[in-house]
Amino acid sequence: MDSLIALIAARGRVLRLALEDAGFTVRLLFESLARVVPHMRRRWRFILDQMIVCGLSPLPVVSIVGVFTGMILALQLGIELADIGQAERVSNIVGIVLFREMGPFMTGMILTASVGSAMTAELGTMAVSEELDALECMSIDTTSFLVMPRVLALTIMAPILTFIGNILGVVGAALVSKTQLAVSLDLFFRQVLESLEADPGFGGFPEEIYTGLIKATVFGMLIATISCSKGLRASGGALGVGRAVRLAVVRSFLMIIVVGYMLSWMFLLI
Amino acid sequence: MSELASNAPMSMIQLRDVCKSFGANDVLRNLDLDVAEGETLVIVGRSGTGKSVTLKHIVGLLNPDSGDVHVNGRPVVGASIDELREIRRDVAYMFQTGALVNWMTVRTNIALPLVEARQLSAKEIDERVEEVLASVGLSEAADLLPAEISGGMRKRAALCRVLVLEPRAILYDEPTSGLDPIMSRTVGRLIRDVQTTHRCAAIVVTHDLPLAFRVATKIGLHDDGKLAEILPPDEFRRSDNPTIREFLADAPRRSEPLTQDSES
Ligand SMILES: Nc1ncnc2c1ncn2[C@@H]1O[C@H](COP(=O)(O)OP(=O)(O)OP(=O)(O)O)[C@@H](O)[C@H]1O
Ligand SMILES: [Mg+2]
Repeated sequence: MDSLIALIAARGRVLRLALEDAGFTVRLLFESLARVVPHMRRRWRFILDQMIVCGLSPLPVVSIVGVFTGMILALQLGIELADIGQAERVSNIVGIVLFREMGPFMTGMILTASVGSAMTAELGTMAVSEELDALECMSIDTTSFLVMPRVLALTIMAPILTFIGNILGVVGAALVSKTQLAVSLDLFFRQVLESLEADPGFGGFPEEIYTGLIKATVFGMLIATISCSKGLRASGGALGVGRAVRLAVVRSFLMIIVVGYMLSWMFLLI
Repeated sequence: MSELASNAPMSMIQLRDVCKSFGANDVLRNLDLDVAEGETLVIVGRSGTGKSVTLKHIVGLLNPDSGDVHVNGRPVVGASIDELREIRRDVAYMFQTGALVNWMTVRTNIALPLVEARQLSAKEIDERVEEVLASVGLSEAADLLPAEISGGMRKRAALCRVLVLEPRAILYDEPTSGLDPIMSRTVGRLIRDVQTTHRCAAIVVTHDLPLAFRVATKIGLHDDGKLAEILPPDEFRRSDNPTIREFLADAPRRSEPLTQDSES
C-alpha cells in the first residue's frame, strides 16, 4: 500500500515538473514576443547575427534534403502512376505533398537538429558556468538579451528555408520525371503551376504554399522557444547540458509532429 | 570599536539567522553577518564551507530556508522581480569563476552592465572601460574572447566588470585566486582604493591571507555553517580560537618568505 502511494506520489511529482516546464516554455514564448517590438532597435545586431546563423548554416542541408525529397517522391509515385498510365500527374501530387507537408516537416526536423540543439547547448553552457546568474545579478533581461533574438530569427528564417527547400524539391522531382518517367520539363512545371493556381486562397496566393509557410513559421517559433527554454534551465555541468540538448531535440520533434497535424487539420477546415 | 557600534550607520548588508540546506547537506546554520558602508568584511574558511553560498543569498540568487537578508534596509527574501532589480543595482558580485559571457570580448563584457543600464553615452562608457582595463593591466587583452585569455586574466576581467559599475556594495568571491603575488597585490590595492574613494560596503571571500589583512576592516572565519568570530584584523591574528589558530598556521604568514625547508 505504502509503495503504491509512493508510486502515485512519484508520478504526481513528474507530472507537476512536466507542467511547470511547459508553463515556463509558454511564458518564455509570450515574454519574447512581447519584447520584439520595444527591444528591436537595441537588439538588431543580435537579431541579425542570429538570422545569419539560423539561415545560412542549415542552408546546404536544407537544399540537399529538398532536392532528394523531391526526387524520392517523384520516383516512388511515378512508378505507381506509370502502372495506371498517369505518369504525368506526378507533378501535381509532388507539388502538393511537398508544399503542404513535407517541406515544412523536413525543414523543421533539420532546424531542430542543427540550429535548435546549438541554441540549447549555447544557453545551457551559459547556465552551468554561472554566466546567466551573473547577468541576472547585473539586472540584464536575459529574455531580451538572449531569447528574443533567437526566437525572432528562427521564426523569420524557417519559412524562407522551407520555401527554398520546396523549390529545390520541385526541381529534383522534375529531373526524375524527365529522366525516369519521360515527362517533359515543360509539361511538369506547367502542371505544378496549374495545380497551385487551382487553389487560390487569401489574396489569390496559392493555398498550398502559404499554408506550408505558416506551418514552417510556427515550427521555427516553437523550436527556438523550446530550445532556449531547455538551455536556460540546464543545470549540473556538461552532463546537464547534454541532457538539456537531448530533451530539447525530442520535445521539438514531438511538437513538430503534433502541431503539424493540428495545423493541417485546421487548414482543411477553413 | 564597541562605542562605534552603538551609533554605527545602518548595515548595508545584513544577514540574520540564515539557514540553508541542499538535501541533507546543511550548508548554512544560523548565519549572522553585518557590513556597514565603508567596511570591508573578509570571510576566510575551508573550501566547501558555504562562502559562495552566503554571497549568493545576498543578491537573491539563492533563497534561505529560514532567516532574513537585507541590503540597504530592503528585504531580499520574498522581493518581487522589480524590487530585486532595485536591490541588485546597489550590489556588484564578482563570481568565483569569473562568469564572463563567453561569446563577447573582454571589452564588451566589461561594458555590458553599463550599456544595458543605458545611462551613459557610448563615449563615456568607452572611457570608463579603458580606465578600469588599464588599472588591472588588461588593455592588451581587451579584444580577446574569455576563452582566449588565461585564468588569471579572466579573474581580472571579472573584477573590471564589477568595478565599472561603482556600486554601493561589492561582493568579491576569491578575487586573487590564480593570480601571481604581484598581481594579487595590485588587486588588493584596487579593492582598497575602491573602498576608500567610494566608501562602499564590501565582502571579500578569500584564501589569500596577505590580501585579507591588507583590505579587511574585520575578518570572519566561516566554519560549521556560520561566521564563527568576526574580529578586527589584529585581534583576528592574535585570537585564541583553535580553528582560527589552525587556519593561520596552515597558511604562510605575511612576513615569512615562502621557503620549503621542511617536507611533510
Ligand atoms: N546549487 C547547489 N546545489 C547543491 N549543493 C550546493 C549548491 N551550491 C553549493 N552547494 C553545496 O554547498 C556547499 C558549499 O558550497 P560553496 O560553493 O559555498 O563553498 P565555498 O565555501 O565557496 O568553497 P570554495 O572555497 O571551494 O569556493 C558545498 O558542499 C556544495 O556542495
Ligand atoms: Mg566558493
